Amino acid sequence: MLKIKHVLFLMFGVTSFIIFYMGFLNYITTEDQTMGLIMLTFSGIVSIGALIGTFYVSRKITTPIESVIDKMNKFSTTTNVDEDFLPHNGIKELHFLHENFKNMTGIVSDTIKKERKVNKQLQDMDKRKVEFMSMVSHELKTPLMPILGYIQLLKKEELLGKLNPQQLDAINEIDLAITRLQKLVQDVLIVQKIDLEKLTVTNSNIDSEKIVNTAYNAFLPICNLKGVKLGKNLDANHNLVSDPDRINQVFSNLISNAIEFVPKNNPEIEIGAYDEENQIVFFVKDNGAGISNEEQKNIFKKFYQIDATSKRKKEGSGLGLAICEGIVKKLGGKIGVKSEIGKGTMFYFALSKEKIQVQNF
Amino acid sequence: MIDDNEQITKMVSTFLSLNNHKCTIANHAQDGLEFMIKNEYDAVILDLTMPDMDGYDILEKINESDIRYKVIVLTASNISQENMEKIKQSETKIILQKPVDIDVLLEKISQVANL
Repeated sequence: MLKIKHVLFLMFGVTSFIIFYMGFLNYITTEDQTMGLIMLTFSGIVSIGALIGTFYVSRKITTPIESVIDKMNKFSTTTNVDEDFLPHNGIKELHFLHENFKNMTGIVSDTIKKERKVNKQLQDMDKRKVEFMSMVSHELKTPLMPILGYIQLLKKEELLGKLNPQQLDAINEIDLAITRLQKLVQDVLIVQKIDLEKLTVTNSNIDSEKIVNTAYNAFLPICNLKGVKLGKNLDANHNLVSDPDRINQVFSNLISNAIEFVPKNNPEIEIGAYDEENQIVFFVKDNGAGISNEEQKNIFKKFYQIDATSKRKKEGSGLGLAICEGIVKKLGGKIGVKSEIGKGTMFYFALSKEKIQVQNF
Repeated sequence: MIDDNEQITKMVSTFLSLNNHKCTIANHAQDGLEFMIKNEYDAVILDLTMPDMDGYDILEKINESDIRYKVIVLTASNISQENMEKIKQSETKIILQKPVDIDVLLEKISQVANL
């Protein structure tokens, strides 16, 4: 690239040389010696004048431009610039360049300042949210402890004596309600943890078969009690690296949901796991009423509850599937549902067999 | 049992005494610390979040002294990574989250205290 300085010197240098050369040619070819000498002197003065003028103009224009370039460089790295870095030198274009650059830097630094302030506010807000969450968590859980404790105490005949049937009924009702409240508190707190990205997961070697068996054994008694046929289908025999407690949590949630939604006649649930490419898919199938495509879009949303075909209001918080989704995402997996009205429902979640770098917040 | 919540300490001590265990209650951490220095116990049930002096302070003070106790932490708070390190370096044998099933609590006390 060319510098203005060099272009000016080239142009005026050549012009000066031509003028001087013409004066010189005139001097050696003319017959009027005096006139030739005058012309030579004149052309010499004009050439030298032009060169000096070029030098002056070049300094006057290029130096300030270089200064602006320098300040721009400085500004782009530090976002700071001196207020008036260019002395007023009478050149209109340079004056405007200077003024506009000053305005622009002003706006840019203001914007940056504002952005930093907003950022700081957001960080503070996030910190307060976390503090609030842990305060709420503590305050909600603490009173549950004596309530649950006294209920258990009252139910122990050998400690506080036998209750009459009505008293026992009352205690059982309180127990049911408080257990629901406890579940709700847990759900709300875990949703908040997921929202604040504070959910932590561990990584250990786990056996998909063991996960399915654990869930199967845990739910067999309640399924027997409710007359639900619980099946097990294991097509996967692979280890994966993930968080066994969180997987159990999701799996249990899905099975509990299925138990809620199976039909009264011949209720059936099948749980299991199978291989799919580099993933292990855990699933829970039921022969319930099925979920419409429209509802499938919403079921993972918080506080969403299906009431279409069953008519009865479910007891849950409406947070279960949102929690499942949050946990599975955190484990680097994918959760989904396949269902058709009248043909049952299958909830599944797929986890990579290979260890996924899970970021802990 | 060191816990600032009087309802919890009352419930747990009632339950324990009905099961023929003697339970001393401290609703202020400072009192609890004094009891621990003066007397001897098979196990200490310790709350973490308390006003003035908290459970971590007590664990730290016990660590600095030469008295040794089997501690069961019973808390409703989330324990941060940093605080978990403090607990790991202390005499804590087990951490239970409130609300805990009282039968589980009794079982863990028996385990920790080798009763």
